[in-house]
Amino acid sequence: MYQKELLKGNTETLLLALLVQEPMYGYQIVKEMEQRSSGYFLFREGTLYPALHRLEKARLINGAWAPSPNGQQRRYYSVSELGMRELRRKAAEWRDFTQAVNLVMQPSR
Amino acid sequence: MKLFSLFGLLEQNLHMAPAKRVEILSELQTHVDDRIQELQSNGFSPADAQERAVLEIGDPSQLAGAYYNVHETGSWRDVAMATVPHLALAAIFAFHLWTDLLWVVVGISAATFIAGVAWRNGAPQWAFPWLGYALAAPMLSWSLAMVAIAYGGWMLLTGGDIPLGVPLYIGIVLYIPLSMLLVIRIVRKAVRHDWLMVSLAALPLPFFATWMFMLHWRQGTLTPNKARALEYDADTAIVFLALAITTAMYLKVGRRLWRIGLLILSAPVMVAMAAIAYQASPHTFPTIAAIGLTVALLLSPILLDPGSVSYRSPLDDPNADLKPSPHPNS
Repeated sequence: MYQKELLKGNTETLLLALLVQEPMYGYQIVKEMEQRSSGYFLFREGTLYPALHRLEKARLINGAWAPSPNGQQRRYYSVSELGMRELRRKAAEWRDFTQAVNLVMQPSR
Repeated sequence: MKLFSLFGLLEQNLHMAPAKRVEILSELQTHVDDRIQELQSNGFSPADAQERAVLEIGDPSQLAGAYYNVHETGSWRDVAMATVPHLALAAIFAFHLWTDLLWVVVGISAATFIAGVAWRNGAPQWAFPWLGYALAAPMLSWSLAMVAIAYGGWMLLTGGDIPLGVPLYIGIVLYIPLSMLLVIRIVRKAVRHDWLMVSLAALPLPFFATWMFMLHWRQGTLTPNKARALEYDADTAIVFLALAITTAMYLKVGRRLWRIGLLILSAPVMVAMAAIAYQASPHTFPTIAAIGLTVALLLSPILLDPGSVSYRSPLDDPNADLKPSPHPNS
């Protein structure tokens, strides 16, 4: 299992990466995140919703009420133009970081 | 914990604009509804499904605190807007403009107008200091009105005549209760947003009251000596600068307890600064009494806090069937 601190620094990037694919509501995000990470990421309400609201306040995502396929109203979140730019920046940062970590962790020859 | 208790506790701890509170609760309720339905389809009884869904939400006060941090931490724009009235007052005193009635009227009118417009546009955090100044004028005028009433009554008894004229005297008598009702109504509305923001709005009031008291007390008359009063203007301007700094710190501090601590600490410091500036010893009984009253005044809006009144979960009745989640606009 991962350290909570690891997720803390990357929650918002993970949310942006997920929402860039399609607009989703809170519960759907929890399920999608769990499914796509094969059960590795289990988002709790206390982490998810404040993070979504923080992203929305920073204008990286937009939230709007809309009916879900079963007709019930849900608050859907979608990535804004600013959020797309931020995701690209974060993704590049993450690639550089993991690449560097992998290089260090490889046994030296 | 039952579902209705969870939402009640959450609402009590979500200290923010009522519309935002309802939206957060509605969103969380759709989440809980979905979770309960999923658990029930996995074989849980309705009661067990509710209990488990509530447990998964966790501590409601912690969750509310996380929301508060996100929504109530002020942006730099909020800080800039909120400190403008304090800085304007500092300038008014620094340039001795308060002795010109025109500047006083312009200042009060501007504060009232801006507070009113901001209130109609969702009451952002920066609006509260403006609201404080808008309400300061009627609140401080009550003492003057009461003095005028007492003076008129005394002159009527001793000389058989009212110096201000009967219509004006009746107007002053009516002014106090009517303006009090209006102020109480506005304050009650503001408290529905967050009682602590009302405390922030009230922050300059103790200093204003001290300033007026010291001014008249030291002159020994109701008509202050302008030349002597102007001597204190530089110190008064510094107190308003300190109010601006306090307001900025308050808005940038996201944690509620720190905000309460900041207000409790700063208001008495300002009263003491005023006492020192007006050459009264900060150790004298009136100063200590003023500090006590200041803290009491700043914490008093909590008494008007309505608690959980606006949001009612459709699941308030634990025996009710699951219903579709409410939409804030429906």
